Amino acid sequence: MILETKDFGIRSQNFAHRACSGRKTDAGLLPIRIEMQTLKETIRSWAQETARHRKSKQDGTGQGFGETMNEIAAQALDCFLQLPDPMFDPDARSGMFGEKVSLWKELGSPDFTQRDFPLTQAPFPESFRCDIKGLDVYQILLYNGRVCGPEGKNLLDPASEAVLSEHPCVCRLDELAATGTHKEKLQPFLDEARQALCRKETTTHVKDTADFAQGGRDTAMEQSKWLNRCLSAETLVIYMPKEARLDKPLQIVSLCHGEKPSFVASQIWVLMEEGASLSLVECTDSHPKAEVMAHSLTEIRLEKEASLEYIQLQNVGDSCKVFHDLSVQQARSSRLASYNLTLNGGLTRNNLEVNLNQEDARAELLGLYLQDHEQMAKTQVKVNHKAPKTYSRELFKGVIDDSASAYFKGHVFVSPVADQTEAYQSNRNLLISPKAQAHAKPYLEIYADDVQCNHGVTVGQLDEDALFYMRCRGIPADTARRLLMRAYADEILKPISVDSLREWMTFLVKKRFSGQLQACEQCVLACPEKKTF
Amino acid sequence: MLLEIKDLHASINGKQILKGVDLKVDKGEIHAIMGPNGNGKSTLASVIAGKEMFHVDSGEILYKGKNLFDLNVEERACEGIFLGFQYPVEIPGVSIASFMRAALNEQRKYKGLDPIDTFEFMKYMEEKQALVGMTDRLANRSVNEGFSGGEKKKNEIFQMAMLQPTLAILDETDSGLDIDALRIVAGGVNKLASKDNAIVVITHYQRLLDYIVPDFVHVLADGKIVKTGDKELAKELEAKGYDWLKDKGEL
Repeated sequence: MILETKDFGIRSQNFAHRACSGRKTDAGLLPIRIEMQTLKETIRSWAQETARHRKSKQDGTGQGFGETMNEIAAQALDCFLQLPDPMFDPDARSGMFGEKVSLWKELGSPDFTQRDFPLTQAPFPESFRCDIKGLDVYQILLYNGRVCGPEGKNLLDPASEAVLSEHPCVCRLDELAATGTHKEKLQPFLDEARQALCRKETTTHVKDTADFAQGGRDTAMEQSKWLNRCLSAETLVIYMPKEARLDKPLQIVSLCHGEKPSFVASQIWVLMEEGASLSLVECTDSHPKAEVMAHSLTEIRLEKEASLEYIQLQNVGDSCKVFHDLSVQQARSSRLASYNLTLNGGLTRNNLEVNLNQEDARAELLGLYLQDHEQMAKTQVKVNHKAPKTYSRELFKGVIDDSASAYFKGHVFVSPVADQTEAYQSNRNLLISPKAQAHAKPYLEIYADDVQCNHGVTVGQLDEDALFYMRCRGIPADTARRLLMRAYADEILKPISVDSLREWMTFLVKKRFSGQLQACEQCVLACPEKKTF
Repeated sequence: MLLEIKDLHASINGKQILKGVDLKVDKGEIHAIMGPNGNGKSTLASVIAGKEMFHVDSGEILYKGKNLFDLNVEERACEGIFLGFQYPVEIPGVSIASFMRAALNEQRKYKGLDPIDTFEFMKYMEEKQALVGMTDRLANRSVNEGFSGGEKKKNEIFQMAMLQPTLAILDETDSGLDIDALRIVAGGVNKLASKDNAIVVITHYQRLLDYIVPDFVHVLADGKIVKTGDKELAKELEAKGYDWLKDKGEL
């Protein structure tokens, strides 16, 4: 392994002068290509371990969803393992757009099969709380993909049982009985999972998008979900009944940690019934030194007139890799406002897929990625307009420094029946250093006539005139740069409707730009790192 | 002497613009620099402010007796040099209030003072807004974004009021102003002028000098100050044009 150090003092344009400057270069990782068989065996054995875990949980109550989930997982594994080998071969696919940040490339890297799969590891101490001053939330903790908290209880109110009836409920899926109303309510999630599995006869052509074009499905996105379905041991269910709302936001803290490099998978289902509304924050955090590859899948169903504000915050160490899949189904007049905030992470890939299935469904998709050092981020957004009078707006902004790179791939699909659709897609990038890279591929696919759609990409630099203007008033160049970057990022954070959340996000972004963001203050995770400051 | 420019030569991209400027400005004085377009007026302002794209070939500038070229842009600002821009820059997403607060606190830090307290800052800002008739609505908007020409220039004078410079150079502050805005802007400058500071206005027209009465009028032509006089010189120029100087063989 070669350690590369940087002189942060000289590189003034560096927006985060972080303390840890050591880093593996590619040189140490290159030579051996992984054996396909080894990789498949690894995934198969992890999937078996996951299935065993689901089964053991199920023995207690006898009638949970474990069996169904195992069945789906087994099929997903089948589909996944039948993928043609080039899918796993980083070299064969390296020429394609954005494949530098792909699940396939990661799976194909030699250190993947060496990773721990920490399913049975002891849960994180109950004493951990993510306390942020001035922020009052319901908090659920996921540790390496496993839900923390008392078994069989509604985690919003540990005194009550986990049932999906008239009260909001957050619980593990396998603690719910797979009968009666539960089955009825969750059936759409199970159906969705089954529908996305490939049929036997198509597997050999599976990398050909045409197979999925009819349903507006994206192949690569489905494949990523297969992997998650066969490897995530637990599913966290968030249930909001008809017309329900919570008195404060719900925060899911997904914590990744391991002594050794590891792979963790987590899964969340969000069901919002008619007219329900919720502010949901999902934070993916890690110990600054952890080497975790985290794969998460969040599936959301918004029924008639439901409204969800969803913030996905990614703030993991530079040695962590995050793969996040978001899949949303929206019914008539439902509202989604999604914020995808990538503050830090060695490698981050976000797949967003939003289906506007009925009239007047509206989705606002915003995103912000802040990249420096050799970090890489890829955002892929697919919006399917499947009904008339639907609306979507995408705005993804990036600030990219040092040798970091960012990729954006947007795809709006407007089906022939979706007249009077409005779809706007925009990606903007700010390159801070000469070596920073931004790649973008905006894409519209429209089969209806009466629509309003546009798309655009910009790649630019900080405005030199503005910098000079600010310096002329006495503001040092560094501070002026940070002010401009914060102003640039602010456009994404401004629409967040809950004041305390918006202020907190703004605070985190500010800290990120001034290079002080390792972990929140007071957090136990920050302890080992804090000493170095 | 507050500012002393000696035989200043400066160029941009190899093209010589200033060809030996001499100028002395002292506290309590108001100077006007006039002259035809493209003869180096704005370049002179930019060189004093420290814009890096201009290259100083020779000569020196002493400010408060010290070599100005030893200071970078922001240090010059903190030392009390203010440049009022001919074309104020838009800064989307940064409100005037937060911009001014950052600037004021940086200047205070430079002088070894603590940051200004929020309440005090609001009061101070209100006071200075009144000076140029700037509304709260405007003050909370992003700096210069979508401002009219008049609003931008008002904003420059407002910033000057906030930062209280020792030497203010106002580069064509009158351009793009209607007569009412001109009166407000000039009124603001007059209120700010004192025996402790100096103001240099760069302008094409004598019109501004009806409101801001200069002690000295300089004509900058072909990179040099070719004539210096009092306010009567400006009137003569207005009446006879710059060709008059040419005919006299001074240009």
